[in-house]
Amino acid sequence: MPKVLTTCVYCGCGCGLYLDIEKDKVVGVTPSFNHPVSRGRLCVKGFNVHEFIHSDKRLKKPLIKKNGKFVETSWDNALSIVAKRLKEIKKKHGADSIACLSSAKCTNEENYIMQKFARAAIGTNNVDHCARLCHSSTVAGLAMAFGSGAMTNSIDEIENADVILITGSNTSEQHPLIATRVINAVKKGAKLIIIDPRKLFLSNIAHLSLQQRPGTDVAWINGLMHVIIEEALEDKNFIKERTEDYEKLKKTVKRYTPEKVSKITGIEESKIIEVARLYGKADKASIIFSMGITQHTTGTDNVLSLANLAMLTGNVGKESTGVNPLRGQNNVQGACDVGALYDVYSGYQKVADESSRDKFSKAWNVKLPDKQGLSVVEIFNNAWKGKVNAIYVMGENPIISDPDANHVAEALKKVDFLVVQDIFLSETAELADVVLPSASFAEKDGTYTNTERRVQLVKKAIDPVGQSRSDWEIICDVASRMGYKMGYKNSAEIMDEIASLTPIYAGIGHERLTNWGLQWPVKDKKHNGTKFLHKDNFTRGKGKFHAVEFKEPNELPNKKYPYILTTGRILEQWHTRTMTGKSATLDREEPFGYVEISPEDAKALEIKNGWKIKVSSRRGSIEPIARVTDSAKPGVIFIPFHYKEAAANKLTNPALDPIAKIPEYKVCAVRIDKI
Amino acid sequence: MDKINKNDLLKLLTSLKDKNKLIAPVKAEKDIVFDYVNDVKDIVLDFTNTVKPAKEFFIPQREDILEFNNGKIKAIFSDEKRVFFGIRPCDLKGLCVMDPTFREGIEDPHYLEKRKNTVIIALACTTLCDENAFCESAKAGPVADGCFDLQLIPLGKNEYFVENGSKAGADIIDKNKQLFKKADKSDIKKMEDTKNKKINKKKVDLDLFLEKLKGRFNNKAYWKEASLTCLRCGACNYLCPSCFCNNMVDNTKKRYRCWDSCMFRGFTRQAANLIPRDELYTRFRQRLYHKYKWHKERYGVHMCTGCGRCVTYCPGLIPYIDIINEVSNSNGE
Ligand code: SF4
Ligand code: SF4
Ligand code: SF4
Repeated sequence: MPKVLTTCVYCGCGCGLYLDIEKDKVVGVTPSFNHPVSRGRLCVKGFNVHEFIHSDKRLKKPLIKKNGKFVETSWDNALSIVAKRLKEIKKKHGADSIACLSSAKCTNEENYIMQKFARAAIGTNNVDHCARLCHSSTVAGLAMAFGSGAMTNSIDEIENADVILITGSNTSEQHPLIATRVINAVKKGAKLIIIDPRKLFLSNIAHLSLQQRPGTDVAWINGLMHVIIEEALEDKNFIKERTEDYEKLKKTVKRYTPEKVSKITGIEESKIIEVARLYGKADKASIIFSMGITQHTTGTDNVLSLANLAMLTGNVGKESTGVNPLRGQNNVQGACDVGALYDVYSGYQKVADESSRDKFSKAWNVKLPDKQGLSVVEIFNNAWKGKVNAIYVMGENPIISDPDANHVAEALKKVDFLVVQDIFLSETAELADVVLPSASFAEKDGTYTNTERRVQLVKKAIDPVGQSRSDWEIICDVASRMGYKMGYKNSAEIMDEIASLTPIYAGIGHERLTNWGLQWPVKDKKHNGTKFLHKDNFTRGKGKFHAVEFKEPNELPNKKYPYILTTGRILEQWHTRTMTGKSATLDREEPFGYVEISPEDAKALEIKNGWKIKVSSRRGSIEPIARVTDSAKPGVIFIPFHYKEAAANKLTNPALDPIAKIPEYKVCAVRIDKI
Repeated sequence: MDKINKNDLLKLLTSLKDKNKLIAPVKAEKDIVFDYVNDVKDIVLDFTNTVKPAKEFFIPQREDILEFNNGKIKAIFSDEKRVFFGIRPCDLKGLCVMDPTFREGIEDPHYLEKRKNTVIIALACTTLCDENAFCESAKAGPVADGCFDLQLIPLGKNEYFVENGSKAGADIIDKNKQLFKKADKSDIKKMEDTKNKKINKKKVDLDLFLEKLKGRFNNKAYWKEASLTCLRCGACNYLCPSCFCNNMVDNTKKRYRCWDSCMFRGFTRQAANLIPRDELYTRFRQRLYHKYKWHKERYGVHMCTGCGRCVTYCPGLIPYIDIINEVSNSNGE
């Protein structure tokens, strides 16, 4: 049957697949044998990516709320209401009373249009998206250390590492096709080290699998460096030639003896020494991390520490090494790259920097605001305080995905005007004044940028379902109706504009991406992209060591809330289940919210496997099903955050990392009660 | 006995296309796939096998089977006449192996109609398609020994020996006589040489495997170890030419069925959320026992045709061939 080559919409691996079309419907998926990441393989989500597209729950017409109920309306009417209300609110309260949430699920082109809409059409830098909640600390930390906040190396290179250190990434569940590379590396003799509060699936094949107390990452990483320096395993040449501020680091980590670190983290002293030796002696050592590192009030510190570790041993700037953040969403890398962030335009060009502002002002033909915008969490805080009066959401579901979800829901109820653009009526959309139906990834053209910076094509396989339209088309219409003309022939033309304004994307154009895309930086139309970063020089010149001290998480267990809750995801569900929840095959795997609890804790609390229990934090309580498993350590419980019926984020702590403004999803104090 | 050259073959397919929908291997953007063909010039004749097996045209990954309309229920069938050209022996045998499950007991008209209405012109292999193929050991290839209407066996670059396997096949030859030539002695020898040629790199003994499986079922430690890196993707069912399990899903307008996988946890989910095969190793074991033991005991054929896909496309890098050989060479416990 006809097959259209495109990119998987779920995770940041960015696997290549064909959508199979039969009578204008997507009826299946064919893996692409020649794709450089997936090589003919897919995970279960990729194999079933077609299933949600034709769900009968898809939004097919614009909706407006009348007397608390949604009624269908025409596009013309919906768009004019949106434009009129936004104009009114801007006039009354100023442009900064409006905020836009962009989406890591949408294409680069759509994200670019969304931030342009916020900045040029509305006149505010209040634009952000869920990257704030996953890897903003990576972007901040790696930019400080190396000058560029992305995966340093490529997925392919993982297979040839000698030592792989995975921390805070449940790779087999969240990046299955990267797990394939890890498994292959282990088969070829690499030593795998996993440091994570939980025993993970890949722990089964790990050389060492250690469980630290959640939130103590700076301590164990400093401990490793202490041992490495103590045993003279550092790369003196690399430190001398390529880095600065080494002495400061040395002084700080001197105090992190294995004994001290063991007390803080709960990892045995001998194991800390063993890991330090393994990593320190490796010829090619690769660090893989994800949200277990980033989602802390010390998220940026954690990332800086990993960067320290890699530089100390010269494990950056060459093949099969590096500091490799795995980006979660299919296009979270791209959404950041094209400026859907409150402080930067596309290509991380700072809003605060006058020359960048001038450049964009000229290109967009409008004076641009110089005040830094609000981050996701701040947007809701300000909405709650009545300082943000309208929110425009594209393809996000913050009621489930953001910390302290009850607070988010209240904030959304408080705003005067809420517009949500989505493919389904999400929990957030239910609160909206206007809901605009958008086309799914199978119904539009564009690009996604995967976790290894590979900008790849997404192709239209079928016409949009119902009256749905591409997100960029909808936003351009709203902008034009507000008096700022925006219009493009197609998404390729938007990419041309991005390329003209964004040095790291300068050489990118849709016509150049037909051969499995290009990895940025792509300097010009002749440059073929960049496999790994920081080869001879760091993006910022010298790599910078940062002396980082360990700080405790914001909320620690106490008598009333004696357990630590950590959150995460599972293989078959995606984010807030707006898509996987509508896929019969995927949802059947794990349809109910649950909590992992150690046999010891279960016994003490007299809880049995399969029972519904009550888990409460200072912010709320939920009732997940108990799953007694030895992957959890006594004192620590784990809840996947996907389920609205047992929304972990009603419990999580919105305390922020001071630099990146990322909330501390990974540690909060809870209590457990039988019901 | 007949033969046909490449030009005449394309003419034959053009004429068959007039009255039938033609399915054949073509190049999609980057890979060879099976697709409906409008112009026979698009057909790729020297392809190694596709990633997705030919079964998708008989039991599609997703297929609407009932329509609900104001309390009325209508079954959805397709009685389209089709010619499937270029199916490889392993994929062909895959269909034969699953036929009885759709035929015996309760008949499955959605599948059987498609089988009945499709003329199959198979294409035998002369070169290795996949490092992991073991079609010779599975007695499925590289040349098919049945199940086709016609089979083409390459005689050099531009000519094919034509083997007839059914009345429909004979009819095609009859009606298009001018396009076929008589095969001479040297052609027949070449054809027989091809049939005898061994091209696989991998070898297994499926009968011995079945014997040894008998005592291995309760060896939990072994199955746990063997399934350690399975990422529960379902590829070893989805991409297997002989797997046929499917799930029924109802929405407000339709009932559709879609491919299922015994590697999925939800596959045995029951009311009250009891999951008999909750542990991964039990599902892993189930797949092997069904394929290599129970299906054979029930229908006389192994449910594996040696295409090698379950090894080549496994993201968990499970070495199924090594597992088969390891168990076969063990003491059977
Ligand atoms: S690994 Fe990620 S990109 Fe690949 S198929 Fe699975 S969800 Fe899609
Ligand atoms: S193909 Fe491999 S990873 Fe996927 S279900 Fe089968 S054994 Fe598991
Ligand atoms: S079990 Fe594996 S080798 Fe056998 S037919 Fe299926 S996919 Fe091919």
